[in-house]
Amino acid sequence: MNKPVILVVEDDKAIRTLITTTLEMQGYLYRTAERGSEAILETVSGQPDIIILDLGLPDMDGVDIIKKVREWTNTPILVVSARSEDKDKIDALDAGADDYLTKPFSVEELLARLRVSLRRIRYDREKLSKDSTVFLNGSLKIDYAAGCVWLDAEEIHLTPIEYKLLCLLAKNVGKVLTHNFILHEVWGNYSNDFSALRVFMASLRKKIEQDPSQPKYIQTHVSVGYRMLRVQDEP
Amino acid sequence: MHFSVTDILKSLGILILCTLIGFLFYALNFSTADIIMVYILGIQICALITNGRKYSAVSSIMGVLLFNFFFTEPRFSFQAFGPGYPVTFLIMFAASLIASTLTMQVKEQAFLSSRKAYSTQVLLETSRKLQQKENSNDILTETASQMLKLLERTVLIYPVNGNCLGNPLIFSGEASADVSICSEFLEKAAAEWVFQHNKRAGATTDHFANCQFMYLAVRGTNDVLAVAGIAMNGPSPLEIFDQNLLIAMLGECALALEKNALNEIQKQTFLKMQQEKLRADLLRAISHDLRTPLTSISGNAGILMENASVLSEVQKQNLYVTIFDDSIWLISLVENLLSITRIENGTMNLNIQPELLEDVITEALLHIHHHSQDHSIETFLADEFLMARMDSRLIIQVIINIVDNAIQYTPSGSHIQIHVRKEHAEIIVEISDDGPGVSSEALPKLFDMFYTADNVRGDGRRGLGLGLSLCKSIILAHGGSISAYQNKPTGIKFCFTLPAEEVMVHE
Repeated sequence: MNKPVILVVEDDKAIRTLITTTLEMQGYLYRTAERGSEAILETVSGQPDIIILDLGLPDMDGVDIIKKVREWTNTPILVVSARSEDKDKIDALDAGADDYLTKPFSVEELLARLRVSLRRIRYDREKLSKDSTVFLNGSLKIDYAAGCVWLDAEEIHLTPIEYKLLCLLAKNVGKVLTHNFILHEVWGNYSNDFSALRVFMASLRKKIEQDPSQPKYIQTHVSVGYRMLRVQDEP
Repeated sequence: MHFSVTDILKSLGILILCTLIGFLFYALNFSTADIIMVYILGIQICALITNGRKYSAVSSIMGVLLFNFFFTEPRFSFQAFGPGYPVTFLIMFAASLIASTLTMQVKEQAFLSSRKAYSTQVLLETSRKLQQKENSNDILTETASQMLKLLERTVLIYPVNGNCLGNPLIFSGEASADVSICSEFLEKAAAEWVFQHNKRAGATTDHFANCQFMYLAVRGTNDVLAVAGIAMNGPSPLEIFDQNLLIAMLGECALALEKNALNEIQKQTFLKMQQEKLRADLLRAISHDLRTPLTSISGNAGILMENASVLSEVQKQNLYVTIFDDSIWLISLVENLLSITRIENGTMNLNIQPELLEDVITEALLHIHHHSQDHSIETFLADEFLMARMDSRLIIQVIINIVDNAIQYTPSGSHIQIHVRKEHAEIIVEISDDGPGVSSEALPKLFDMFYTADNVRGDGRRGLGLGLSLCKSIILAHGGSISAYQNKPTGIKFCFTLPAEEVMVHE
């Protein structure tokens, strides 16, 4: 795969420099944009692989930018924001963002999130040529056709809801799914039984994680949602 | 002219009784004057027990005629031969008429004063009850129930919310009767008109006369405080007396409402003053505490920029670490300040959701900034699905603050343990360390704002004693409690509770 190109949309010079310096040192290619309109132009002309987007831009609301970009591309969007309210995160995720980082964030955290997104695109590209009735992630395997789940070649027994949750997360691997989105997809329109969701996720995790306190597959984003991580294939 | 049958029967009965007594007296040979007295007495009694002058006036005439018919010579005829009789009749008539009129007046006086006493009593009671009420809703409810008691008609009260009328409160003698009425557009429009114009409207008035209710304004000094509606679909219109009493009652209600509003303003001013003071204290403490790390960050960065070539790698590394640590300290300060603003705005800003304690604790431990690798932190959950209702962001902050605090005040190598269990309807979280601890007297003070252990506040000392006091505010806002204990054998044990969420799961 070619060196990935990352579009950094950030109006604050200090943060932009911080991000671009980090990217440069890691050997990523990048472009920058300071405004929303510029960002949309860059997305069209530059075809970046990942977009790092600051929500608080001077000319456009970040959520509107996400919606606009999502009209024609699935490029992963990593939101960076100083707004710490959960609602802002959830709005951005529901609008189509893949992940979010709250300022202040550490450089390692940013790089980790980028790696997650990169793994996802790499997987997406490979998948195009492959048969997609089987989902593979590390030692986790889902056979959609048979409705079976294996971990390390050992079959795992899931309840119907756990299976639905796992499939939903697997189909959106790498993307943070909000509670509302999951409830809507798994339980249907009018459910808002948050505690049931918490419990099913916890029990699902118990079944597929070797060490539930150090989750490898399913990440909890407290009061926001859950995400399945694409695990680095063991060499 | 309207005659009541019972009053006519009463009058007739008395006249017949008088005539019978007259016959008795006549047989006993008493003088005719005694018989006249009997008639006058009878007519007086008649005035007392009937309503209206007409009965006693007619009775007076009848009395004279009966006396004439039965007891004057020739008897059993309306003729009277005695020369004095016409004068006797005239005097008898005048005497009975005047006596009955006087009796009537006394009776009316008594009636009026009893009514007055009643209205005074009702008003006093209303006023006393309204004095005890502490919010406008209670005042309106009480007024309405007093009105209901007085008039025995359905009463509507439209409270005023800001600049418009709210939905009516309905008070009805018969349960659930007339409830549909208030939803009618016309009724609402009439009430609205009253509110706008500060005049009465609705049934029996000039405006909106085809409404079923009459609407009266509850008038404050400057504006309308509420609108009261009284059902007018009953058989008779309101009596003047009731109307006056009603208006007096609404006046009482307005007074109580205004007094209540005044009290409310005073209370809020007091609260605001306290908050202002707290804010000022906080601001002073923060700006003091910000200076130290900021000086360190800018100073160290300055050294690095200008003397990079002179410094050894080890020296540089030390400066980097200092800058990093200080900025991390600033970050946690900002997190605490954000939480304070959220709490200050009241509990409605809390984003309360059921959360798994396990998730929350894991998330909190990810954010422990200090060099926690020197401390061992262990978590023990009594059950894997312990769930509590909370604003997760704030509770994470509580756990971070307590654990950070424990790390800060215990030597490296100390053990920090987090135990979570459920008792009745509460989740209990205990965070304990085995450090040196504090004296028993100092334990409750740990939650005071700006208190730091040892209470030494030199410039070199970091740590605005903000963390634990914030924890307390957060836990209290969640309806829980927080306290600190001595841990056995050494150290401090912090313990807080949260309302548990019942887990109900069906596939």
